[in-house]
Formats: sequence, C-alpha cells, structure tokens
Amino acid sequence: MNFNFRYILLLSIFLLLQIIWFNHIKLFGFITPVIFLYPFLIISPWNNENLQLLLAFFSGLFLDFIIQTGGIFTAVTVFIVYTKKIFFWYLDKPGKKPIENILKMEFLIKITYYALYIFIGILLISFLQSFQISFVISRIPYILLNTIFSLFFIVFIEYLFLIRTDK
Amino acid sequence: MLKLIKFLLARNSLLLFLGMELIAFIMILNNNLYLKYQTNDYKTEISGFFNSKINSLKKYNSLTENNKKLLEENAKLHKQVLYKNRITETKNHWDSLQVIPAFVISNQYQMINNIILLDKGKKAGIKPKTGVIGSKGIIGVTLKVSPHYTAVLSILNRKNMISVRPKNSKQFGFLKWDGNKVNIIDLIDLPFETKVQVNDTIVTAGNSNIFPKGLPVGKIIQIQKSKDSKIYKIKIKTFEDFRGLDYAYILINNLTNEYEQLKDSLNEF
Repeated sequence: MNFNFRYILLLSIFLLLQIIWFNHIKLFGFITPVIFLYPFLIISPWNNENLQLLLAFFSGLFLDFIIQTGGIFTAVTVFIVYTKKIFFWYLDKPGKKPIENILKMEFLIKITYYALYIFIGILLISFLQSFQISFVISRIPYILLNTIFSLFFIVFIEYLFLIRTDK
Repeated sequence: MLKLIKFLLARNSLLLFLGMELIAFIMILNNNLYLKYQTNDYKTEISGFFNSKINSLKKYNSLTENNKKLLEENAKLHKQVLYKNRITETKNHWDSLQVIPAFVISNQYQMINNIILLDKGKKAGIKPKTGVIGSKGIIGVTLKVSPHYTAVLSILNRKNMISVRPKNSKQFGFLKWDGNKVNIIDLIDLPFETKVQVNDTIVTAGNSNIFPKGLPVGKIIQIQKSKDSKIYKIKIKTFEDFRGLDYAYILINNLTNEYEQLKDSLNEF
C-alpha cells in the first residue's frame, strides 16, 4: 500500500474504531482486540520511513490523549514502525526482489508477520503500564489470546474490505 | 565533526526513532509522576473535552436507552437518599456528606491501570481523594480535578488499594486488581482467622476519609486457602459492572480539610 488519501482514511478509521468500539470490548472478560497497529503493518518499511514514523508518532499521541495513557501508545506505534524492517531483512534473499506490497504477500508469511508484531505490541503495552517483567510474564497466556483475537479481526477486515476492493 | 554529521544524516530515521521514543518515555514517566503527585490538570481538561465530544456522538444513537436508564436511576436515587440518611445517622464524621452526580464520559477498563473521566470538576465542588460510587457499588477515588472534569482512579487500577472487609466481620483487607478480568478483583491481606464463605458480601471498611463504612463493593466468588503461608487468596466479583458505567456519584465529606489538617499536624510528632 502507498501513502495516499485512501491510506490516511484507512488509518483514521482504524484509530477511531479502536477508540470507539474495540477499546470497549472485553471478550470473556479480558480480551481487548488491538487493531490500531494494522495500518502501520501494511506499509512497506522501505516506503518513506520518516513519514511513517511521524504518522505513527502522532497517531500514538492521539490515542494517548483520548485514552489517557500518557505516552504508552506513542512508544509502541513508533517502535513497531521502526522495527518491522527486521522481519523483512530476515525474509530478503540475494537476487530476490524486495517485498513492496504487503497485502499480496504469501498468506502464511503475512499472518506470521501480523501475529508477531501484534504480539510485540500488546506485550509492550502491558510492560509499559506496569514496568514489571514478572507481571508481564504472568500475563503471557492473556497476551497470546489477545493476539489471536486481534489477528482474527484484522484478517477479517482485510479480506472483507481491502483485498476485495483491490480485486 | 563533518564525518559525524554525515553519519547522523545517513541515519536520520534512527535519530527520528530515538527522539520520538525519548519523548514517549518522558511522557510515560511524567504520567507516572502525575499519578503520584497529582500535578497539572491540563491533561484532564484536554482529555475530558475530547471524550465528552465522542461520548455525545455515542449518546445521540442511544437516547431511548439512556432515557430508560435515567428513569431507573431516578427510582434508585430515592433509595439512595434513604441509604445516605442511614450512613449519616450512624457515623457523625460523615454528617456533612454531599453526593454529586456526574456522567461518565470516558470509561476505561481495558488497560491495566484504568482511569475514568467524569463530566464534573472543581466548579461542582469536587476535590481530589474523594470516593466515587456507582448505583450498585464503589467505583474508585478521584485523582485529578480540572475545572470541568474529574479523573477517577478506578478500582480496576493496580495502583489503587482500598480497605474493605466482609460484611459480618471487623477484620479488613485490601482490594487489589490483578489487571486481568474486568469486575473480578483480589481481596488481599485478610487475616487467616477471618471466617469467610463464597457469596459473602464485601463492604468498605471506612478506615480512611475517602469512603464511609459499609458501602457495598462485591461478593466473594472464590476462596483459596494456603496452609503454608496462612493467607487467603480471595476473588471478588464487583457489584458494579464496569463495562456499562454511565453515571457516578462523588461522595464529598465537607470535614475532609479539618481531618487532613489534624492528620498532618500529627505527623510532626
């Protein structure tokens, strides 16, 4: 995906969905799907990285002001945007064309990529709230379940709205 | 020097990343200090403004439901007046109790340290460190008050500890949320000799100037006894459902200042 009006609209929709709807969900009493990271994951890390970092910073700041989390979402979105290239460094092989369209990546690789960064995102949110490693370790089963449900919503939205309209 | 500048320019995204992370971490640390020392109310005012706008959009779509809730709430208020009288009759310290109703404009329960925003502030006479209740049980303690909004430290916040006791006992423990399930809170430090059972009601202990004695909190749903360490592991289900908070009542004790002054003067000895 490229930076254009459609992308900004998508980012705004995901931020609003997170604030208005997903933040008020507690499936089974403890699962709050994290979908706001998705728009940052579908942009290739090689596509204007500085602009991606700025967008991540201001989106995180917006979430922090609304949800009153004082910098936690800012730190997480910026971290995810900067470190997602590590996954692609691992995938890149000599002589192979670098991946430009993440939406068209092989399904299993794409799911692994989404799952990994959503897991890291939720893990960081938990850690930055408590600053206790033992507490975060005790929460890992919850974080894993949260990742699975977030992934389910993301894949559902992607196939329903993004890949369908692309076709 | 030129080499250093060239090196930094070549890695400008790294610098941008580090700069942004630094700002975010300063904000996180400030936020923790803000929770500790309760300074600067501008954050409460800005967040309150945005949340009241979002909330008004949501309320527009559920006016009928809200009206129904208001009617039910009115009926309950009559009962609460009686309840309030009972408190003031039995405890002189709470004679000057004032109950201020407020709308919940931002209800957080998905984080580990949750904050609730109310649409009343200093102008309505609200002060920090006062108790907040819902229609069924306690909700939290006011943390920061701006002119028009109040930030409440929810009982679903790991930094909040409120003294509570089983209704039929004089021994008390503390409420502490483990950060996992909504409406399920741990009761810690309850002496081992206390007789408790599943379904026992837990009420406020009234050990501080924040909540009067005997306000409902929740009921016991699980008791685990550890023979080695001689402590209870008790889980409580709160009476108040934090997923559906619409209204809150702030309990203001007009004798708080006098009480705090006396307490401070005792610290000198």
